[in-house]
Order: sequence, then C-alpha cells, then structure tokens
Amino acid sequence: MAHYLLLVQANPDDTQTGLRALEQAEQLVAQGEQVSQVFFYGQGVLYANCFLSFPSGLPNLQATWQQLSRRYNIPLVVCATVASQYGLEALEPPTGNLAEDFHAGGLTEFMSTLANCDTLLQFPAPTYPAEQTKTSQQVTFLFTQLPLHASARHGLDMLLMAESLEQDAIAIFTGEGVWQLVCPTIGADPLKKMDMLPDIFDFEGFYTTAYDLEQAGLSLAQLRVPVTLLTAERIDDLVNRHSKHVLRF
Amino acid sequence: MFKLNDRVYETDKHEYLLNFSDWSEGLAEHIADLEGIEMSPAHWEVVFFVRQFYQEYDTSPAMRILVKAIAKRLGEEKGTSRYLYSLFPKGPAKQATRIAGLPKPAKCI
Repeated sequence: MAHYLLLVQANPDDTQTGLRALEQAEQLVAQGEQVSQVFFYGQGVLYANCFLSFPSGLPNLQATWQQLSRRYNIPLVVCATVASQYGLEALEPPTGNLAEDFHAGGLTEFMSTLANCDTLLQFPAPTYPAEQTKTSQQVTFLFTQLPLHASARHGLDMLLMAESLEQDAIAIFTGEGVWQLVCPTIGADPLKKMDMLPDIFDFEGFYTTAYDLEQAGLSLAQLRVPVTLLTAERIDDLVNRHSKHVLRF
Repeated sequence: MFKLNDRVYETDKHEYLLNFSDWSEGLAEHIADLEGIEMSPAHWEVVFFVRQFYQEYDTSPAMRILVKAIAKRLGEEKGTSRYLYSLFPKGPAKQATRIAGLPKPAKCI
C-alpha cells in the first residue's frame, strides 16, 4: 500500500480540476491505497467555506470531499493562514466559517506528511512521470509565475517550511518566474522573505538557465539571491530523475 | 488597543500593534506588562532582534524560523527553544513579536 498526498490549489469553481482530484482520490482508495491527507492551499482553501454552494447541474464537490473523508477517514486540511486571505476564518461557526470535516492546519502538517508519503498529486498541475527516483529525498519547487501572482508567495512559504523542517529542497525558476528573483525597485515586494533562505538557512539551491535570464533581459548580478545557472537538460534531469516530489507554483 | 500615558495605540484583531512605527521602548514595557513579563536585557535583545528581522524580511518570525535565526545571529546557546521559552513562557514567537510591535506570526509557518 502506497501513501498519497493530494494538494488542491484549484478553486471550487474549476469543476474540471475539482472532479479530477476527486476521481483520483476515489480511484486510489478503491485500489486499496492510502490517501494520507488532502491539503487545500491557494484558492483551494475556498473548498472549506461552509457558505459554499454549487450551481445546479454541477456536482457538489465540497459535499463529495466530505463524504469521502468520513467514509475513508481521509483528513481534509486547510491552510489557516492562506484561508484568512480568502475570507475564510478557519474556526467552526459561529466564530468562523469552516465547513464540517475540514481541519484548520498549516504547512507544518503538509510538509511532515509529504516527507512520509510516496506520491504527491497536485491539482492543477501536470503530473510528473512516476519514474522519479525513490532513493532521493529531494523536493523540487518550480516557480513559473510573475512575483505578484499569489502562487509565488504560496510556493515561497512552502519552501521556507521545507527548509525549517530540514527537508532536502531546491528551487527552479523558469519563464516569467525569474522575475521573482529580482528585488523590485518600486511597488510591493511580497517575496522579500526569500532573503531568509541564504541568510538563515544557508540555502544554495536556487537555479535557473542562462536562456531564461536572457529572455527576461536580466543578469545574475541583478538577482536578490545567489543563483546557479544550469542547462535546460540538467534542469530536466533534476526535475524528472532526481526529485522525490515536484511542486509547481 | 493599547493605552499608555493618555495615548491610544491602534491594534489589529489579535491585539497586536497596528503600526510598526508607533512602537517605543515605553510601549514595549507596557505590552510586556500585559503579557506578565518583566523586561530584562535578555528580553530586550530578543525584542530588538525580531524588530530588525521584520525590517529585513517583512515578516514576523514564527517559532522555527526564530530559533534558527537567533542561533545564526546571536549564537547557538541562545538559538534554542528552551532558552527562548525561559524568557517568553507563553510562546516566544507570539510574545516577543507582540512586545516588539509586530504583527502576529502566521499560524501556519
């Protein structure tokens, strides 16, 4: 029996992704596999709002998760900190608006479950080949969005938690994601805490490619943290052959 | 809100100081009093440390990060939960950040 961890970041309005996650969970339990936790993060926290309703003609995805959780004893954990950013006070009514069967939790719970699970399934995200080496403990974070995109922040918080728990982790920035590595000269900088990684955790696992930097018109000297340049082949190798888990943000 | 010497200081819903720049050592002593803590040089060292931390990283340090950061900057013997709990018995991250006039650290981190 293998242990699975599901990470749901799609909002409840994304029926396609929501159904895919549920079908996957149902299929796993039917095969006798263990779903150790379903973690609701990013916009996925909205699933835990007790005021949530679904339009007619569409399945009630929240109720389906609740039934599944009760029937197979699968913990539904919602990130309390992100929840509050989406108007969800993760406490039982009347104090908060947390739906039944959901538990307020945090990245600590997610990360410790991740360390002990065999496979992570992220929704939405392309599923990475199952060929991943089981001897490696490395968790690879892929950052592909602009700095003000919420997922940049959510991914960074998760990476910081991985480092706090002394998990073996690396961070790869590609496409528009390389802009996260630049300290903005004007406007908000929600990623300032990235500096903690080299300063406090002696983290050296920042990677990108010369091509991605060049496309953005950036040079290594402009980046806020020390970044190592790798070839696209090497990055592909790290992601597909040297990672136990891959998290895409 | 905090009230000190006829002045009112706004707080957030967790009763943490709303404006970082409203802070003063006098206010810190007042909040410490509310927390049942008598400030010693060892307490001040941590309080000033978290203020500087906040200025550098724009975030209130939660416990694990606080321990790690203190070990790194103030020395291994101070960067332990045991030492920090001896100063702030109800939770070092929670109490030190409140006394330092920072927002409450995220639950989740």
